[in-house]
Order: sequence, then C-alpha cells, then structure tokens
Amino acid sequence: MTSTRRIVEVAGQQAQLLDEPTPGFRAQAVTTLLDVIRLQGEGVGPQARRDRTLKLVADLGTKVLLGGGE
Amino acid sequence: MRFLHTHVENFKLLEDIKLDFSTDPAQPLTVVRAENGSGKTSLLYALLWAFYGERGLPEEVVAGGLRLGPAHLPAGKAVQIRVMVEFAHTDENEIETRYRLVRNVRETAFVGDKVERDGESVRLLRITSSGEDDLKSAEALVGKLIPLRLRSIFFTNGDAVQTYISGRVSSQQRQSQVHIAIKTLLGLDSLRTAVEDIEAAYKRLRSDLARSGGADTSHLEAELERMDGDLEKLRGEEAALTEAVTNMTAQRTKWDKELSGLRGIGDIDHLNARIASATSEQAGLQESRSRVIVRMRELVKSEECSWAFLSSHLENGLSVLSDLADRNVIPGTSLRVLDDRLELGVCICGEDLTPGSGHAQHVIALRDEQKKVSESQERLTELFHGGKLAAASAEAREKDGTDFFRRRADLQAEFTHVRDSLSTKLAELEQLKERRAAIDEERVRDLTDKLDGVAGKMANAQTEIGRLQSKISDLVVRHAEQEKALGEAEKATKLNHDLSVKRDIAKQLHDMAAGTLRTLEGDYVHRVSDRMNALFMEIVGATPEFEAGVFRRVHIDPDFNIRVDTHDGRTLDTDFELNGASQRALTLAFIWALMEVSGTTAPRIIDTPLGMVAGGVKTRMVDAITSPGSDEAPDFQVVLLLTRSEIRDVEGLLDQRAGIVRTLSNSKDYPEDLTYPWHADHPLSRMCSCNHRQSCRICARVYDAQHGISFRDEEATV
Repeated sequence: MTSTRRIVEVAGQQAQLLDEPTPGFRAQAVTTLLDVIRLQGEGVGPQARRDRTLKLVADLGTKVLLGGGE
Repeated sequence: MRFLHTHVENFKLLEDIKLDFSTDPAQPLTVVRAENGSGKTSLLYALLWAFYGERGLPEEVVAGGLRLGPAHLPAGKAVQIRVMVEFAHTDENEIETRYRLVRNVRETAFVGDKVERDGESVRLLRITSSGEDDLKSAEALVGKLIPLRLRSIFFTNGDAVQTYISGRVSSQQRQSQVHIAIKTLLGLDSLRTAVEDIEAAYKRLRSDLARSGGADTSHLEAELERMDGDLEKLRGEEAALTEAVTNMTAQRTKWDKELSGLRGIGDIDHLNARIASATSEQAGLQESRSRVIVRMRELVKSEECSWAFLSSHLENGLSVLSDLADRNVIPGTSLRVLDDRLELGVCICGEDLTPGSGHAQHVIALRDEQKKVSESQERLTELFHGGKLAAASAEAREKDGTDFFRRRADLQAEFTHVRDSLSTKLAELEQLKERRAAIDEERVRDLTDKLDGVAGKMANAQTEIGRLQSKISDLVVRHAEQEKALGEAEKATKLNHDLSVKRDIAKQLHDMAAGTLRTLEGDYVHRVSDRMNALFMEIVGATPEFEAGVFRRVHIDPDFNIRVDTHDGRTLDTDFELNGASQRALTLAFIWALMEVSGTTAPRIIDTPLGMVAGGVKTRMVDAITSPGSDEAPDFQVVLLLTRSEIRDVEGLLDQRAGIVRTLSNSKDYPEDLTYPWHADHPLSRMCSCNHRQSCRICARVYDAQHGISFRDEEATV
C-alpha cells in the first residue's frame, strides 16, 4: 500500500472524530488535506505554498457556509 | 523505481561495463559475481556517483583524495568518465515513466595524487514513445525519486551494513538515521509539512477574526501571535541546538575514533618516556660491554693466561730447577765467601790476602771467574723461587675457581649476556622509534584539543537546551491561558461570522491532519518493527517460544533505537553481543521491513552481504531478501554483488530467484587466480555473461572446480 493511500485511510478515520457541520464535510476535509500535501510537489516556494493552503482551507470553510455544496 | 540498464565508462577499473538488471517480478534478483578487487565496489560507487555525484560517495572515500578514473593512466592524461543508468518509475497513479540518467566528468590526475575534474554534467532524460525529453533540474528530480539521505537504504556496502544498529556511529546518529529512513520512506515528511501549513492557515484566520472583533480581541490575539512567534523561535533554537549536539556528537565520534587509532599505535608521551629509558639502558649496556672487553684484554695479558697455555713447559722448567736445587747447584754460595775473605784480608787457609799480594790476586781472579757462574745461578734461583710461587698461585686459583679458563668462561658469558641485551635493547629502541614516527604528533595534540573543546561546547549546549525547554514549557502554559482569554473575549464581542466558521474549520482540519500524522508515525513504526522482527527471526532461525534460544524479539523503541531482547529479559548490545551474521541479518531485516511497509519499489543494491554469513543463516538470508513480491511485500529489485565463496551453498536459490547473473573479473588476477591471460596492457575489469555455475576464457579461475563451476568455451575473445 502506498503512503498516500495509507494517509487517506488514516485521515478518514481521524475525520470521524470531527463534527459534520454539513453533509460530506469529513470527506471534503480529507480531500483538502491531500490537496495541501500535493502543493509540495508543485515546486512553489514556502510562502506561496502557505498562501495557497490558506485558500484551500478557506474554500473548505466557504463550502460549509454554503451548506456543503460548491 | 526499477533499474533497467547501466553503462559505466572509465570509472575506476570499469572501462566499459554494461549491465542489464532483472525486471522480472518472479525473479527480482540480479547477481554480479566478482571476486575481491574485480570491481564490485567500483560498480556500487559508479551507481552512487551517477545519482548523487561526489555527495553520494562515502565520506572516507572522498576525504582520501578521490580519483574516479582508472589508476593506470599517466599523470597529465585526461579521461572522460561517464555513467549512464536507465530506470523506470511508477507514480501514484500507477503510470510508469522511463528515464535515462547520465553523469559525465573529465578528470586529469597529476603526480602526487592530485586530481582535477572539470565539466561535470548530469542529465535526466524522460524516454517517451516520441523520443527523449531533457528534463530541467535533473538533480532535484533525482533527489525526489531516490533521496540522497536514503542512499544507505538503497545502496548498501556489506561492511557498512550495520549503519542503523552498530556503535560505529553514535546512538544519536543511529536514532536519527532510523527516524529519517522511516519518515522519508513512509512519506511522513510531506504530511508533517502539510500539518504545519494548515496550522499557519489557522493562525492567520484566527488573527483576521480577532481583528474583526475590535480592540480587546485584537489585543489578545496580537499577544497570542507574539507568543506563537516566541514559541516558534524557542523551538527553532532548541531544534538547532539539538542538531548541533547531534553533529558535535558525530564529529566527536569521528575524532575519537581517529585518536583511538593513533593511540592504538601508542601514546606519544608514553612512547617518548620509553624511548628515553631505553636509550639510557642502551648506553649502560654499551659501557658494560666496554668494561668486559677491557677485562678480557687484561686477562689475556696476565700471568694466568701464560700459565694456562704454557703450564706443561713451565712445569718441566720447574722440575729441572728443582733438580738443580736438589743437587745444590742453586743457590751458589762460594762467591760470598771469597768476597768476605778478600775483605778480611785472610784466606780460609790462613794465607795473607792483603791487596796486591799474590794470594789476593789469585783469589780475585778466582772470584771473578766464580762471578760469571753465579749470575746464571742467581737467575736460576730467581726462576726457581718465582716458578714455585707461580705454580702455587696457579694451584690456588684452580682450587678457588679463579683460574684462567674459568675466568675466561665467566667473562665470555658476561660478554654474551651484555651483547645480547644490547642487541635486544637496540631492537626495542628501533621499534619504539618506528612507532613514534608513525604517530602524527601534531594531529594527536590537535585531536586532543578538539575533543576537549567539543566536550565543553556540548556541555554548554545541553545546559542551554535545558533552559530553552523550561522556557518553552512556561510559554505553553501561558499560551493556553491566553487562548482561553481570547475565547472569552470573543464571546463578548460581535465577530465576523464567515471568518469565525473558517477559523473553526481550519482548527478541525489541523486536528485531523495532526492526528493522522501521530497515528501514522506510531502505526508505521509499529508495523516496520513487527515486520523487521519476523524477518530477523526467520533469517537467524530463532523461535520466540523456544525459551532456551537467545532471541526473544527485535523491535524499534519509541526513541527509534533498534533493540534486541533476549529470553532472560536482557537487551543485547548490538556491537558486542551480536555476531556479524546476526548484525547483517538485523540491518537487512530493518531495510526490507521499511521498504515493504512503505511500499517502496526502489532497487536494493548490496555489495558483499554474505561476507560473514554461513550455513542455515546464509540460505535463509538469501531466501528472505530475494523472495518475489506478494500482497504484503510489493515488487522490488535486489542486486547482490557476490564472491564465489558467498555464492557457495545458495546456488539453488540463485537458480530460482536470479533473473540475470553476470560475472565481473579483473585482468590483474592472472596468473595467480585467473586461468587465462587477457593480454591487456593495464589492469581492467570485464563483464562476461557467465552465471554462478559457469566460467569462460574471461572469468575462469584456477579454483573453480572447488565451487563446482563448469567451463564453457563460448566467450572466446577478451
């Protein structure tokens, strides 16, 4: 099993400990975590990566504000 | 990653070596059979150099004045060194890409081991159906595919195989290496960075939210942010100091080892003292020898010497003299009587001996005649008495054991003793001086000073680390209080709803990511530990339930130490209480477990892994490290660089597991070991297609029959 698959599996288990403010939030949280990890492979600097992480996190918040949809 | 092919040109003895690697999942093993000095380690170094340049080569090799090209080339002659490796990499989406890595450098060696290299280049080409793409940042991509810090996992030298368990490196280094290997291979580094990035996002949202709440929350948040900054700074300082201590420990280990090596020859001060003492003893012995020689000369000149060698003649003479004495010939007395009568002026017969008288004239003439006879008598008398005395002395000397021959024997014995002692002392002195010459006195003092210095610095750093940890601990408590205060203030204030939701979501995301990291770290270490234990026990043939056995289990403890527990409740010292075979088994078990758990398909290339291994352990070790992949253990490659002795007894396993076997030989081994000459004008290594059961005109060795190797006359030319 590759490490990414294992991360998805364990992150899924950890997500079960979170509140589910909107339907599908837990799955969206796992996807966001993987998106944040992937940013490291895009060859951008640390500050740009953190800015993009902030946007990914804020987007997840926006989804919750919108009730779970896009 | 799987290696497909390599081509090495002018790297050490490898002038032109091509090797295909087995990519068959059912036969994951590639074997290069080569005897000592044939180029096994050069091949390993060539691959390391291709991937990482000089950084990839062992420190001691680089420090020893690295020459990459062939050693036989004359000074001033440049050579182009080139290593090409073709490999395939499968990404997370199961898409396989083929690459060609080529590293080149031009090297010129000069007299006195000086080497210059220029024009080093490294290219990474992606091979596609339409051609080759030259990729930018080749080094960075290679570093990502097969990280430098994991080179000892992928490329292992049998002699350095205990990197993860042996005291050849400090415990901190070992722990760090085990930790780094686990984190990197299991992909935990990227997860850790993600956790930090999400935490930064959370703090940013928290700060924005606080500012939206007005002065109170803004003020509290500013203070919290300052504390975050302070905490980060303190933790950074602590990490830097800890790393510095690790580096100092490593440096100290290295210096200590070098110093121990030098002191193994002898402590310089102690040696100097011994040399001074031996020099003084040597002078004393020389004086004794001179004195004995003087005494020998005196003895040779002495009466004893004459008596010793002329005793029979002297005894004859004394006998004659004794005879004369017996006959009253000596001593003579008439001369004195005549002198007395002349002085009295009256002869015994009453005749007047007045001077001038005829009688007196007659007596004077008689006396003069008598005088001539008397001188001889006197001399004979002296000889007689002297001879008697000398004979008595000789007899006395013989009685008390001081005769010439005895004295000569004593002196000779004394001389021999002094001469031998002197000779021994001189040899000892020479040896001591040689040992002293072997010690670089300046280096010993330099190392001693450095070790003293680093010990002081380490003590200071440890004190500082303690101080920082205490400050961090205080700050963490104050930070929690501050967060609570901010929470209270937020409740009393109207906050931006959107920001509030986003901040809470960020917090949740962070908690989930941090929890995942914690779980995986513990979980992966646990799984690596369990798999390592199973592999180790299998290789060494130990059964945990068998109480009379030695090993109960091996495991990785929370500090990333690899531990070996025994049935009697002890933890073995892996340096002193594990034999060489078990040490190798443990390290290979760790590497294999790590690769399996992480699902890494990178090749494992091991030079001389079976050097200290024999019997059942050898068979089980080869079996364990060459087993084809399964659900538990994904496909992998293993390349073993083996001597004929290592291959012995595992030929059957190699028949089954090895997809490719090649033989590497070196021309210098003719005629001692190689059966056929190559007619090469300089030493070089060649690869032939012989497998572990064959030999040919290139690789046939005089002792092949002992290894059951059969000759084939197919590689006709060399």
